[in-house]
Amino acid sequence: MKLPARYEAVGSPFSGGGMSTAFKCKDKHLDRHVLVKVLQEGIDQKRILDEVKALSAIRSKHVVQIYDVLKDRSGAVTALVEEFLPGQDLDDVLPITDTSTFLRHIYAIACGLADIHAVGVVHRDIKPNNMKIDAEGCLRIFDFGLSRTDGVNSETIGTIGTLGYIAPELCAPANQKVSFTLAVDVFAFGATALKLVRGRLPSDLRAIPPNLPATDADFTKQTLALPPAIAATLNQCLSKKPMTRPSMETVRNIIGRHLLHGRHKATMIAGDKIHYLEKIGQSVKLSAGSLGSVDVSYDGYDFIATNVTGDVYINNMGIIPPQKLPGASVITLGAPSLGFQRQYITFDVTHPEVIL
Amino acid sequence: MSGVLHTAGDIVGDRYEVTTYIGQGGMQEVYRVHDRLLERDAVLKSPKNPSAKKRFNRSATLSARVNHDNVAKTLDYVEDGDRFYLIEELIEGCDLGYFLKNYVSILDPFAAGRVMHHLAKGLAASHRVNVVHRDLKPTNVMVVGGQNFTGFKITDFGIAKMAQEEIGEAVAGDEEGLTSSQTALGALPYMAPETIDDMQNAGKPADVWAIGALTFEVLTGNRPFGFGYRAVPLIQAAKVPPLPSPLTSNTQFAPFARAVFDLITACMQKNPAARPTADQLVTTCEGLYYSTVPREFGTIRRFDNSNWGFAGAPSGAVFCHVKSVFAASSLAVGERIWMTTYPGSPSRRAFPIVKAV
Repeated sequence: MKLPARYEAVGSPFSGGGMSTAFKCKDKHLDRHVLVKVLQEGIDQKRILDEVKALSAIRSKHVVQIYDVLKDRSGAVTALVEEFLPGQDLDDVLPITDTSTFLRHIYAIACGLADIHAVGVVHRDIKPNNMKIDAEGCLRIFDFGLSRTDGVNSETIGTIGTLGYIAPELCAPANQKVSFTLAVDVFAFGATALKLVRGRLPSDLRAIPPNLPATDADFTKQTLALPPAIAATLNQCLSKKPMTRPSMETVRNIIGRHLLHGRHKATMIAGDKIHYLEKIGQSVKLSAGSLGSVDVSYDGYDFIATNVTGDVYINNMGIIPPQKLPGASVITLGAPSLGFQRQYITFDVTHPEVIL
Repeated sequence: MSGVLHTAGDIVGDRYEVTTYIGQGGMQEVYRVHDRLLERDAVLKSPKNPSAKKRFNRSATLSARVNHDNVAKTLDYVEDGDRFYLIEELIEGCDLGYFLKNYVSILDPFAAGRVMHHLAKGLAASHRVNVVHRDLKPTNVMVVGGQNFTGFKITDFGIAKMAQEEIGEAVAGDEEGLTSSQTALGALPYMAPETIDDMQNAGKPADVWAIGALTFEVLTGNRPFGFGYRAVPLIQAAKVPPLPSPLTSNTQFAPFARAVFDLITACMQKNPAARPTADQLVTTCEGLYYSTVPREFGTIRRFDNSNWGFAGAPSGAVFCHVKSVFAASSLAVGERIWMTTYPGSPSRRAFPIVKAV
């Protein structure tokens, strides 16, 4: 295919993910590099149309940006132009040996997939090969050549995807139609997370259909120590039954919550005195003589009120210990009938913001 | 108001269909367009002065180099007839200048710190590819979600290069010269001392200064050195005015306001070399403590005593105490407020509260 004058190939073509040939090009209009993906001859044009449609619809900092499509003389789309991503393939940084890097990566992937699913797109080929860390350290998902709109033509004949990342429900005998849902991406996300931890996928996962559950695919039994809640969620992603896999939104929220583990700070003000509570396991007793008292402790995620004596209210609500405190509250010690004798303590929770 | 260059229905570059006129910056007209090729909406910008082609193209290629979530994405550049156009991602929302003027004019220190953090991220990405903005100001920051205040993106990178001569001449000239240039008037309050002397000095440290000046404005409601010609000697002296006392008198806000203010003064040092780099600013902002719970607007409906009352808001009635208000010590029926609300009985409780426009 002859490229329009605007795009000038730099270097030699390479595979653009099975269905297309990719060229790194200079976009002469904006003097920057772009990736031109040309549909290979003999491949169903639907592939590139699906990819264009998906990329145009998704708005996510974790998904590659599409700029242009190229058409042949008859007006048929033959190529797409997307941003060229310098930076490392996720495959090149495996295995990941520290928990915090691992959590940041799977959080980024979960954010991206949640954005993709929010517009009803199923990626269908989630794997580390299709992800990159860009120059600013932001993880990006690309290659939507297999993507479909959820529920639209969401049947396929035979098994499509990449060995090791294919959900069990897709492993049907040849010529049998199989349905796929967003849950196939959730499974592939689980497999991706496993690959990040192990460097390569266990044979149980590379079988068709995968042998699950398997010890090698159990996130609680990996060399990299993971927080129990995270390991449990990732194990759920690898459930045999699509229905029992969590949504990517849920996965994202669970990981996001964990990224702030131990990083909250409660600022307590009584009168003009400021006190802070920010160490995991640390506890303070807030008391006003015989009026009432309450212990507040930090478990790394939440601030919990326990050991209530006398009259204690949080934002004017009675306490049923152990009770999580809201993000901002006033703790009142003393019964309402005491009027001005009641003691007030403001309790505000803040944390650093994790921006990927 | 409508644009001079286009009306709805015009097709640009055989691809972009003009839908509405958004407005004009100092140098360009801005339209919302529909990209008929990719079936999505985008923003189209074109300089008012067609003789500026070379500089406009230069500014487009500069902005196209930057690829970060806190910077508006450059999607395309097309020429059509004797006109030329930059196509940018559409950000549903408004610019920060509009937000400050029409919604909330003083942000609490948590929100101000968050704005600074996001802008520092965008700036760090652009400085890494050696793109200097030169004209950072509230109207060049897009607030994603508008009133919902969900994210922030720097826009019009490199555009200021086009305006550099105009700004430089106006600022170096007399009062009359300055007031005759809307572009220079808008840029001046955020200009670093070294750029007052010569716009050629607008380097990375000047962008860092501008983030400081911008954050000062969102935190206090005022530009650090005012605006207009009288700001010139004050900027050159570079003595950042202290935080007004209402911003530090409330213990519940004071430590956070001071933390943000310390960053502002670090950015606004007269010596450009003494200012943090954008990367260093990001690192410091990562240590800022704030809450990311969404904000909402409300209106005070009842205020039966001098201390507390209730606002009507989307989440229902909200308990509001004057001690939860930033930069003010009273609330009155009918006042609009901007706040975060948390569970409480019998109604939710607001913290922090700032007065809305």
